[in-house]
Formats: sequence, structure tokens, C-alpha cells
Amino acid sequence: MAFIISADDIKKGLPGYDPEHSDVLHRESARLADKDFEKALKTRQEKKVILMSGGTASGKTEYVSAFLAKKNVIVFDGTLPTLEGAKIKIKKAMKCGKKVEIHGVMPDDLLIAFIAFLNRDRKFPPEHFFRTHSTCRKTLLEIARDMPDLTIRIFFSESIINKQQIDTRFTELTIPNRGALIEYLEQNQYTENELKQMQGLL
Amino acid sequence: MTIKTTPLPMRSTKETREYAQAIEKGLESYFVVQNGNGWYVRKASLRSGGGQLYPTKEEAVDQAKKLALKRKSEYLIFDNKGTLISRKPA
Repeated sequence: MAFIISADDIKKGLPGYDPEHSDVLHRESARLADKDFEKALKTRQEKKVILMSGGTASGKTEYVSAFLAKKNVIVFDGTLPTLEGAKIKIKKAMKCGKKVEIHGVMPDDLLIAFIAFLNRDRKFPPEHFFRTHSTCRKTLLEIARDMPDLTIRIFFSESIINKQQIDTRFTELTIPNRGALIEYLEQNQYTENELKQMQGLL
Repeated sequence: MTIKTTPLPMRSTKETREYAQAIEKGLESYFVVQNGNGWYVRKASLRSGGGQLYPTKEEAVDQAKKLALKRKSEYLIFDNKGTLISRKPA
């Protein structure tokens, strides 16, 4: 079983947690998640660490539950919002002898991801959606450029909507080399305003 | 650049089901969006550029309320910076 660290899960256990205002305890839960991560690196036996990357409601947690939960790995289920923060985690993990991979999850359809974001139990202001979908892509590109030996895997999440039900499907992209990965990530950068325009909000 | 795509096997978990439920709930909601020319009302699932334009916020909200009531859903009002102003069940 994977050892999964998630600020969203930690938050649920904090006093005063209100899913309607999930942003309120976000800083504190993120701090605790970082602390748990450091402890896990020192105490857990798993040899591999997977850092998740992706905007909020992109399908990361769903991907983790479906494809990583039964693996013998440590998973940090966050958005990877900054290069600095990512580098700190990567360096600490490597120092503890762990192999590190980044798994980036991108929604095939940002409109559907935005709808999921607005309607799930834990609520954040919409700005959180636009900010995380912009910053995580930037961070992933920077990591791809700065850390050429680090394994980065990219997955698409797709919600298949039919009359009976909605299914979530994941597809892995196999990109032939680092240059091509960087090119792909460069083509998939968005500013917060571009993301708002894509949702028809600007 | 050749990118190969490999679909992963479909797996249903509590998390994937909750994600699907959130989408299902939101597909029937309506957005009221301020635009330079007035206020647009559109179904949340409609691609940008669609929707009906109203000259005033009141008219747009009235319409969104009616539509949301029919669908037993809700409507969300956004200002011209894309900020959510309010969210109301019909």
C-alpha cells in the first residue's frame, strides 16, 4: 500500500475545518503535509517517492486512488506550485536515498475540471483553480528544464459523460525525449486570465 | 513531435465516483457572467462564447434563476474579472 500525504486529507482532521471554506486552513494543512513528508522520508521503507503535479480538480487524487494506492511508494498529493518548493522536496527525498518521479495530471477538458472544482464538497474560491492550473504547469516546465534526469510522467484525465453515468479515464502520454517534453509543456502554459477566458469568464 | 498515448485501464474508486458526482451536479448549473456589453447567462457546461446576453444584471439573474429552478440546480454570478460574486440555489 502506498503511503499517501495529502494536505486536503490533513485539513479534514484539523479543528474548525469547514468544507464550505476549505481555503481557510490551507496554509496550515500544507505546512503539516510538508512536515509529514519529511518524517516519511526518514522513517518509511518505500524506495520511491512520487510527487504529484496538477491544478486543483485536475484528477490527481482520483489518479492516485486508482493507480498508485496499491503500490509500494510514498505519494505527495499536492499541486507543486513552485519550483523552489519542488526542488526542496526532491533534494530531501534523494538525500534519504529515494528515487523520485513526478506524475503530472492534466485535465483533457478544463471546463469539466472547473465544474468538478465548483461542485465538490471542499470549496475554494475560483481564483484557486486558475492560480493552481497556471502555476503547476509553469513549475513542471521549470523542473523539466532544470532537472533533466528526473523522471516526469504526464497523464491526461478525461471525464466521459454519457446518459447513465460519468466515468473518469486516464491516459499516459509517452513523449520521446526531454526536448520534446519541454516543447510539449511550453505549448501548454496558460496565464490565469487565459484560463478565465477559456471558461468564458473574461 | 510524436506523442504516443496509452489509455490506462478504467478503475472506479470512491474518489473517481465523487469526482463524477461533482461534475454531474455542476453540469446543470448556470453561470451569470458580466461582460462589457451586459450580462451573459449560460449553462455551465456550454463552451465560452455561448449564452444569452441581457442588458442588466437583474434581468440576467432573473433568467438564470428560472432556468436553474427548472433543472433544480443553482446559478453562479461572476463579475467582469471572473471573480465569483455569489452562488445561489434556485
